[in-house]
Amino acid sequence: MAKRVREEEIFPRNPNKTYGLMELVKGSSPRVDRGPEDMVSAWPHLLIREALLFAATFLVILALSVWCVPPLEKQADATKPPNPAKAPWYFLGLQELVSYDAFWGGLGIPGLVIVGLMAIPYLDRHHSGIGRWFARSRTTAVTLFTVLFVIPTIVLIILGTYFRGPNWGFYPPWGMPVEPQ
Amino acid sequence: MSINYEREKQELTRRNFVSLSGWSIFTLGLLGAGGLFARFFWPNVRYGPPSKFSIGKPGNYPDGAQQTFIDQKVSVIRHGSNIGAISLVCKHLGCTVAPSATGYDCPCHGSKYDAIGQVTHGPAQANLDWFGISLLPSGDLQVDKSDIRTVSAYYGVK
Amino acid sequence: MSVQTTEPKAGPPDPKPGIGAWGKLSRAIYRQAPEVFDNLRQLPYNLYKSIYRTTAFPKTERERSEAFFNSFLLHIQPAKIEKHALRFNYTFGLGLISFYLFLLLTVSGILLMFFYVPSVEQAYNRMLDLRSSVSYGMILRGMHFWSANCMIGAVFFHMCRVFYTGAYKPPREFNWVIGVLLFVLTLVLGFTGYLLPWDQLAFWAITVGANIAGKADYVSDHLAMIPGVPNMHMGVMMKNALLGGDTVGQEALIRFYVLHVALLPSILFFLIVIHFWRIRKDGGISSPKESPE
Repeated sequence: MAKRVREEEIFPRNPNKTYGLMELVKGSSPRVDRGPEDMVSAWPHLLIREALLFAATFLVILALSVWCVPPLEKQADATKPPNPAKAPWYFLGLQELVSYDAFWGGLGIPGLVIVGLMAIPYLDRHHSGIGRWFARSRTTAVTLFTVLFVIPTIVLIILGTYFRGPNWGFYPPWGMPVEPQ
Repeated sequence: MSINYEREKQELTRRNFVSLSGWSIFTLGLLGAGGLFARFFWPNVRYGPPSKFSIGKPGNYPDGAQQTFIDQKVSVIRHGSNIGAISLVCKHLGCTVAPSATGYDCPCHGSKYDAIGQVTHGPAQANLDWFGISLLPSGDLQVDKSDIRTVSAYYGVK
Repeated sequence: MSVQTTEPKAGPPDPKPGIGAWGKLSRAIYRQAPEVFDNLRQLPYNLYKSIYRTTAFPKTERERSEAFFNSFLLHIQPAKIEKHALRFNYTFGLGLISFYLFLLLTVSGILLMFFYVPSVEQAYNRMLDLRSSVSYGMILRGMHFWSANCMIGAVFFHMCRVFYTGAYKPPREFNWVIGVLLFVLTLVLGFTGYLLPWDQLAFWAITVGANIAGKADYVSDHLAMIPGVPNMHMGVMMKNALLGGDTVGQEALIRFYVLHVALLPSILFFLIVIHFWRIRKDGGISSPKESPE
């Protein structure tokens, strides 16, 4: 009640006005219900981090392009497919699937995966564990995503990259036959 | 006339229905126009090599011969008095198969075919195409790659 | 009280009255000269102020906020940010790295376009020319190549980060959907990009890829089993639309080129802008404060 009186003294209610003082909050930030101590100015705290991240990204890419020359194979020849004919690494998981069944591996399963990924936030709406890595309340979701999406993606890419040789046969990386040129 | 704004925000009132219909017609019109232009991506005339090519006189092929026309991706075989033209394009995903001891092998995903193009090992699920052969007035044989046949569609040499 | 009349500030008196229009003009110029001189002296400051109305060295909280409000490029971001959002081991900067790689790809890609010719006869030789006859040609191609490869990795791990921190939950559902689309577009840009060098990898990977699209016939074949539904041969149609023919050749090269340098990057950029805008509209990046545990 004492507080109320003080507010009225500072900012008397005027029935002719459509606005009025609602509440007094301590602090220098206009956001309420949140301690201002959790907020910092984006200048310079955010900006300097962004600049550093850009510098790091740029330097890594520049170093890679100076020291690791991108591959260029022989000119395209429609009569001689290389053996094995491999796509870039990020499609080798798909190529591995395709080698079992062309439609399901190339269109069916990838299409279902994309639709499934898009559906995730509409199926899992439980408001818990936001903002933490591997929150304990989300163990099921984390396990499902890892087992159904992350691990298969990585395993298929590794299989296609290191375990497939001539005629798309299965070879261990240490026993990979050298292609006769 | 008073308008119930709360109701207008959510429900399909007559007013909202008219508005929705208008926008639907507008969208349909746009989609229709877009659909017309989509046809643009399937040209009526194709660039590319002609589908017909000559493989020479039947006499050039002794019994049991197998000759590869790699530029055309066609293999020509002769059994007795029959000549056949087999496509070398894998039925799995379009790589060029290579003649091998057992028939034809695909380097891309490991499909195998026998000597007349029947699939013996997956992932391919269909036999290699055969092409129609005809006799030109000059006495040469001509393979037509647009004339797709099934296995053992031989051309009989008289 | 005497009224003090002040002469308008002007330069020194005219040296000598001129005659006619020319005299009037020269007198006017002479009078205005000191002001123009002042303006020239202040030109750098005025130029800066006209472009950016905030100090370049903001010190107070107010100036620092203004620095963000008054800049087109900075106003996309909040002026005040939660400390949690800045923690590197929360985001690992993966989203921003993906965006930076997109910028590097745009710059290096535009530079490469000055030398590349999308023709079956020339494309491969142009690649060899980058190595031999263009200064820094290989470094530029390397930057494009490595940025593309790293971007695919960065986008994938960014998606994993968003999942594992539960950052896709309401109200951020639709931003996750846009994110999945961005992931797919990144892959498609990779797919269209590696045909362009016209080497063996390019040719056969695209042959296989286009034939995968052709396998959509599976769907239309099954649909055609329903009475009254015609067989649309969806796969063949898609393959022909992609390649402009039955096999990979000149038509396919020009189609992939246009997709890779114009159409797909535009769509990608449009979606990136929406992705960023929605981050702000959905209340900044996710924070543990949103779900007390």
